[in-house]
Amino acid sequence: MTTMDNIVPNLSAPPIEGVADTTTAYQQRYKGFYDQWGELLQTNMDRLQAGSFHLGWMDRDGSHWGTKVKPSSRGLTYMDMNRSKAYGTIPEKSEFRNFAPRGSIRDRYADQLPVIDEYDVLERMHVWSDNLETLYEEAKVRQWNSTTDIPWSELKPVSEDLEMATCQLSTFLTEVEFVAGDFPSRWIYRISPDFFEAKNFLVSQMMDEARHMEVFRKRALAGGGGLLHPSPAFEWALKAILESPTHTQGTFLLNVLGEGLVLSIFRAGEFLSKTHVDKEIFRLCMQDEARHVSYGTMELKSYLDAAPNREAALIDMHAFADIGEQVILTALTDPYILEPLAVLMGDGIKNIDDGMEGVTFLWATIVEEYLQRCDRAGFDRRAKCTIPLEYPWSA
Amino acid sequence: MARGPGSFYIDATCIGCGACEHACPGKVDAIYKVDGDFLGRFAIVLDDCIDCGLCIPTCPVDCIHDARVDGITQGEGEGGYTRIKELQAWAADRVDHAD
Repeated sequence: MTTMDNIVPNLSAPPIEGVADTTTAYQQRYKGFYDQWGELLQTNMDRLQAGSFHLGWMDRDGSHWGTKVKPSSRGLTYMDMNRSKAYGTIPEKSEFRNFAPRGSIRDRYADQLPVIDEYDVLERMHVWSDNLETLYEEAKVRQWNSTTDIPWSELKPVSEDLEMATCQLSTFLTEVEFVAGDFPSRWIYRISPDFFEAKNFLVSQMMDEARHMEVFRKRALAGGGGLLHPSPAFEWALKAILESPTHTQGTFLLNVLGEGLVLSIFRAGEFLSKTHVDKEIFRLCMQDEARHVSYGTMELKSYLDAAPNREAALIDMHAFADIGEQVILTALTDPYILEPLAVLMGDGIKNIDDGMEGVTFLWATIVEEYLQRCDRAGFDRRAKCTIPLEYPWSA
Repeated sequence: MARGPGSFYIDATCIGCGACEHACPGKVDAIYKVDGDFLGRFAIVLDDCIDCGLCIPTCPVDCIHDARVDGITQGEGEGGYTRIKELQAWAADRVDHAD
């Protein structure tokens, strides 16, 4: 039975047999912190035993008490919240590596709060974009459900070659969506809570990608075909995205280049869809992808604009893009992706040559749209781009 | 004095990210998603727009313009996002030949 006398943990107790090593290590680690949290526990216990109140939480010194935010006609958004200087000033560099929310009275607790070592993305320029808050609002408004918002029961059968092409494309898109969800997850945890707007947007991106992975998996099976071949070439590109050394570089590779490529494919969805069900899938996924591409473009701009040495930042980003474009090119030339696109564009395997002509136009669209995004970000890749502007296909 | 229509417009290269829609002040709410447009593009209600320009910095493709400064480009826009018209033309041509 726990009493006031035995509430202090036995710090010298030997490890208990049968307990997993990871649990033992965790125990030891938190026993090691005991002089910090144990002191707080003891103080609190003493107060409870003495029957006295603290009421320190009513002390408003250092607070922004009296701030009242007003909702707009759309409701209460982060833009409305951030009109208050006290709550809406986003620091260039976060000084806090704990969970205390921006705008709370946190300075005086700096010595008592734990330090979360993993919070190491502390500079705003590595995560911010000027459209972050509005994109987050849009993301919440445009959520949809792949279970109920796609008219699955209306999916009409198509010829086997077209169904195979759709299933192969669905397999490829499922692969893409995995990394598009996993990449933000790798970084959200590391971003300082001072930039919670960025965390929130990235969570919405993860939800979008989960839904896309779900919808393309469902599409592959809903027509009576199924998932087909993974693309080794594309998986190298996905690996390169996932292992990008910084959040900005990875966001560039994922959202500006990779998701941009997928957005271009979705924008061509009218010509790839053989049923109105497929068209609806592309349409709904496209509006989600547009947000991710939008964030990536403006995040790169924000990073370059805020870089202490813009020239050095550009040199570094160009070097990164040189290799990034090449791995994406590896994917973009892959028959497991291009040939299904050609079959769908041409309306069947017998017209694959004709479909390749359509893919030629799609290629030019992909590259030009990418270069325009780079222009918008202030990152001129036109002279340096290592992806051919025209499709290297000889009929 | 009655206010005239606004001067801002969104050209055809909009990618439909919707960032501008929420930058528009709530009471104005002049930006809307165009119904039935497969590309999911947005447009501005000129009679509602107050020319505040808050939407412009949020656009990732520079497709929002002030007609007083840029003139009007028949909504076609410029740059890479116009290339899809070639694909659209190719597809339309195929349909015509199939007919």
